[in-house]
Amino acid sequence: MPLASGGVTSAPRPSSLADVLDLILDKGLVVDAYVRVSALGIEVLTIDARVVIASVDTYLHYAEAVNRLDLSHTEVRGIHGMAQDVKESGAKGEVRGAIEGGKEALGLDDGDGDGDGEKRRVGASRRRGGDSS
Amino acid sequence: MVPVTHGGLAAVVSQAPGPHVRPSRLNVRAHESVVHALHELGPALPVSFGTVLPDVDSVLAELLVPMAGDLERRLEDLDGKDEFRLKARYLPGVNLREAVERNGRIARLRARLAAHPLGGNHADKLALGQLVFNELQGIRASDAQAALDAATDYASQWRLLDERSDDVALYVALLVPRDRRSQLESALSSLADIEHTRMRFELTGPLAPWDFVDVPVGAKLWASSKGL
Repeated sequence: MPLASGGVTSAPRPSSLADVLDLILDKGLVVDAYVRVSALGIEVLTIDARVVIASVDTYLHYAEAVNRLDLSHTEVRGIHGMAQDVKESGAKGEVRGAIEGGKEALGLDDGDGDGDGEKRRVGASRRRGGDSS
Repeated sequence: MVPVTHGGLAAVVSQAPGPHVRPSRLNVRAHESVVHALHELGPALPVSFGTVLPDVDSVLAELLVPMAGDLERRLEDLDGKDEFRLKARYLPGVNLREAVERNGRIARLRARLAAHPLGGNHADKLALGQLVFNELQGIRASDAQAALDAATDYASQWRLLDERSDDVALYVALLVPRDRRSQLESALSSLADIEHTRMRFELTGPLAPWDFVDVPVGAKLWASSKGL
């Protein structure tokens, strides 16, 4: 359970599957020619770590992000802001559903329904979308 | 799970389910857990997930015997140290807001595009995006340096980690001697206090040294100059 103290959140261990993968994937001692990870699974699990964004897309992404930035000093988003949020979260729901379907098809989902891996993908798509509010 | 031993070294191995290791949730978590448990007992070098050797004899012949000297040296260097991972993040929208505030051209171009009935032309959007991107890089670089300066005083080694999120200023792995841990936490706490309106800091650990299985000569010199 992470603790917050003086602005620093501490966690003793990685908690979600995404955090564990982030820690151990492509790390540790490599004994030449003996790493035998089933390649197909790895591709899906690391898909958002391996995405490369072309520079034009990157710039458009930032233009969009700064365009949507709410520069007023009030916390109240207003009706327009709220409608935008609802529209965006609906779209993300579709992407999330598609990725989970892919995982199950590849036999990677152990069906324990603990939601491992979801947080990272939704978080990643939110961050790439530039709307971190 | 059995140890295969050679001199003062032991490789902890288990029967592989097959020629390949599926990166399932179970396998991945199990691998990390075993390494963590061993690390708590004493210096341990994590081996890469999915490493499968044909038999116990090859563990000796391919790993322990030929690499004995190297492995012993690495374990010695890792003794009494833990990995910590530090992530410094911006609060939502903070760095974008700062980019606009710091750069008048961004503010003006943004306003011009927003005023255009169709959102502006493509070239202007690209220009705006590029200005923002560069400004964010500048903001990130100075915040990353401040966090790195605070943390690396207490680390005998460190390694930058890949993190492409817009809101992350720094993601770094630190190898921290146990007797420096509380000083590290204290230094980060102070920095977090100063930055509390704009940033949050996350520290994970103590962990096994996943990012520090290699010990480059340069790091040893640097570490000894810091008395670490």
